Amino acid sequence: LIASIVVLGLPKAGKSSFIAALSHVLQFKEIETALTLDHLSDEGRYIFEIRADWQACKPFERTKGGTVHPIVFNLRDESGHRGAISFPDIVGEEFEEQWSGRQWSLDFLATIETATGLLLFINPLTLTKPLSIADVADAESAALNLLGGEDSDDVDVNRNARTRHLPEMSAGEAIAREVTAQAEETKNASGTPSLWDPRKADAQTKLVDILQSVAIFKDGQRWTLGVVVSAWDAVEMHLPTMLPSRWL
Amino acid sequence: MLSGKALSVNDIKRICRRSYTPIIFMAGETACGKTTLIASLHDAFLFGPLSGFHFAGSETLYAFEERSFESRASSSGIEPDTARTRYENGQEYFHLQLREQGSGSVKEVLFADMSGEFYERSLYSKSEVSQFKDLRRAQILLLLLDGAKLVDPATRQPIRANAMQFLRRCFEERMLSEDTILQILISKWDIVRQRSQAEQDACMNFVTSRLNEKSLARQVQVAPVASRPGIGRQSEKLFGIRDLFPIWVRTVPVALHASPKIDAQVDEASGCYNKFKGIIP
Repeated sequence: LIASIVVLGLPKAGKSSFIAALSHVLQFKEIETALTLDHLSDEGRYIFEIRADWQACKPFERTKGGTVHPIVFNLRDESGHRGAISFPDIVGEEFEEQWSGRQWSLDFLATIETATGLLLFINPLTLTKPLSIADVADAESAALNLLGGEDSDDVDVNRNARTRHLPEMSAGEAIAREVTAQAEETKNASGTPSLWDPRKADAQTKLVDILQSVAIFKDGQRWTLGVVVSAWDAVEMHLPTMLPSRWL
Repeated sequence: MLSGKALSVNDIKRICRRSYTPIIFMAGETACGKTTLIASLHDAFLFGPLSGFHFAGSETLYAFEERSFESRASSSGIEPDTARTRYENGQEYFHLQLREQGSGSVKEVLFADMSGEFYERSLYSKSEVSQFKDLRRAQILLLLLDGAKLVDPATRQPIRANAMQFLRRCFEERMLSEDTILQILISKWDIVRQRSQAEQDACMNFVTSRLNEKSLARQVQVAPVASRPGIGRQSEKLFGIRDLFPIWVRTVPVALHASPKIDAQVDEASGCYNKFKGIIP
């Protein structure tokens, strides 16, 4: 084993999709890669199943098994050097539980102990900005002004929901998008704030907490960290010249 | 992994040992905006750097999120609010690690928060002042006065009188060292700003006429702040805080100041600062 890469990220960040796609690319050589599959793993049921789902464009079955699924890719480079890379798939719920319950599962602990690198996944479609009630209320009135007094009931609340957090929109677009999406969340019949639920905490804060926890666990280790912005096509559709580093 | 919750005095010893960490001690009556100020700092860092500092970590992320929750759209509330700090929680500390833009130097800072009930009880009970014992180790005391009450002639008197009594208690009980910087913050200034200029000036004068360097016999700064303005006043978000934040983070104790009386040049022969020559073998 020459490396063990731990994939971190909240639910629906695209971790399993990435691993399934990676497996497909390595094995079926549809595109040229520096590393290719040398031989199949002895036990590969999990990767076989998620890859099959990915190939069929089906959503993953996330309830089977534990929180950490071991995956090993046996690879070789052009000069024939061989090595195995561990790429365990960790379900996003594990990271939600870490934030809420303030502890790691034993499986995650064992995974981190042998890890040599980290990949943090961020899904731009689910990473929303933690707007305050006042932000939303102010933006709502500004949006209504921009729409020329259009009645808020006439605003299509769904049209921008998928891209509401994307940066570098015009001020008007940004306001309208945030408002139509978050106003729905803000309004409820009683107006009474719901009780504190750790799961409703800001996603960015949760991601920082995950990284901090790993850094503190292996204090002094200099990690190699890759940040993957998944579903990039959704960003590019609206911002064709945007670079991932700038988006972050 | 870290609990992420607010820290106790025992917890902060570990942080203070690893680097010099200023402690910003907050006092004020219930609902004057102490916790809101702390939560607004966390919220600001979610959108980028603040006053020349990047967020670089925190041991109290969970606590920050908990305090911010009732102000967020995701809470489904109508008006932004902050959960009240409970009396039984005692003294709580919030931690921030920061990286200064430009120099890249890493700094840490602690904010000490406690229920306003402690403040209110300390006004009439000497024994309650002992709850403020951690004030002795603080570099800055932030005394928050509710601007919404100060701007109203019907409610302003007790606010100022209580502040004066609290400070007197602290002086008498030797809670406030000579080196501790005293900053009096008039909170909720966004509400005060809705009044006429004459009323705003009157509000500020009301505070500074009695809470000043002459009457307190020590340096004091009075500043208006609006940590998290209400609906319709978001342009004033972090008003005053943006200017104060670098002061809080860069505060160093008097003992570490390069005083003109101390020749702090490194002696090449011994490798020691001159100040310590003869002390360090």
